[in-house]
Amino acid sequence: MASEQQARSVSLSELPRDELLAYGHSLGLTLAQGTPQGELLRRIRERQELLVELEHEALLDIVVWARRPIRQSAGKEELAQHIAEIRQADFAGLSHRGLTALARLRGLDVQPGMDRKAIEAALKKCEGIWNRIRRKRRALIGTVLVKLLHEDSGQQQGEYRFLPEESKPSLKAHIEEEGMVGGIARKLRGVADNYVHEKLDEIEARIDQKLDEIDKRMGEWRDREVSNRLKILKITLIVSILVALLSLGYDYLRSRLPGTVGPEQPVSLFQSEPGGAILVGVGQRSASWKRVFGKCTNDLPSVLRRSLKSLPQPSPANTTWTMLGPNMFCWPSNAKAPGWERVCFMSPTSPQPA
Amino acid sequence: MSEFDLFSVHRRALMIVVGTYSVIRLIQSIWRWRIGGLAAGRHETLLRRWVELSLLRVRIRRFVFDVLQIVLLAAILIYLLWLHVG
Repeated sequence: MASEQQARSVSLSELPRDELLAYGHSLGLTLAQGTPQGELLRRIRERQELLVELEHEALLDIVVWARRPIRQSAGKEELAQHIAEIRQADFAGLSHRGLTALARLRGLDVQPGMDRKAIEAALKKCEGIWNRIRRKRRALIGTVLVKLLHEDSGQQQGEYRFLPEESKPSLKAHIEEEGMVGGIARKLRGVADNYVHEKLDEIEARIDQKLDEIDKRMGEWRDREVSNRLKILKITLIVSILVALLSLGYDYLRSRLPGTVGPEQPVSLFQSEPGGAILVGVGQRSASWKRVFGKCTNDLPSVLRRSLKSLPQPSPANTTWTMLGPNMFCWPSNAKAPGWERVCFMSPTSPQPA
Repeated sequence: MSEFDLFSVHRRALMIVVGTYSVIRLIQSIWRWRIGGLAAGRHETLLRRWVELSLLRVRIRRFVFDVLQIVLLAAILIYLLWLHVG
């Protein structure tokens, strides 16, 4: 036993760095890429010692609880590899010895008298907030997907069963059953079958690898496509903003031309052009220059509709006008709009402001 | 009658033409996807599920900065349009 341990230690120390890392990861260790070789070896040996300490049944309890397909005769290292992949955080159904073993495998210091709740709390705490959020997010995505794919997830889980053990009848048993020639032939066929199975497994692994690669490339393509679409959207928005700025600048320049109303002029009363009516703002609170300029036009009804959407189109025939001064009226008598104290009209015949 | 302004006519015409074109293309695109999505063949179903899965697997965090930029640009554009109308 001691010589076997020594041989394993020697072979471990001879392993290249990347294989050591992969082996450590397979045992459930969290190892950074830059971990020194000596540290790697120390931690792997510690993990091997821990596996020797832990009961085989306790490890089996964990894989049964997580419903991992495995043979009952699987070794501790194989069990540890499966346990390292478990991310489940609902510990209902896991025995106390299994829970203790899981906590120890995750690097927690479990005292002999520690109760179940404390171990569960420690396990959840060691999971980390980001891992917890990631798990919750995946659970949410899983729920959505189940709904999308109409998969029935409400089925009751049956009792766990281990994978059947590999049975290899001896040559003697074959000869006993089928005679010498038949027995030898069956044995040879079995060896050939095993060889074919191994090769098929290899091919399957390669296909899986290729599928993973395809999936990864499709993911990259999808991300690139989304990124390009967003870029096009951004360019469109930037061009639209530039055009809008140009248009606004044009409006501003046009308003500064002689004969139009500028923002510096006092906003009190503006004279209409001959034959037209004008809208003026009296004591504006927040009217922008655009509001002031835009109203000084001859098409008063449409301007008024735009400015005062809640009011109907003015019609001198059926509207009550309030006299504010000589040739100056207000409609209606208490008309108010956001940004305007009062909306007034001058009579088209009004020659001068009051 | 208000005075004739070539720039105003141009921008209004541009707005109408571009707006109509975009809406028609958008409706066409949505319609094509709808027809493609409703097809019940085996391949279409597989493709639809793959698209749904792909969309679910998009990492939003990777595009957060772009999306924020787009939201900001859209807000600026809306403000500028409001200045035109207001």
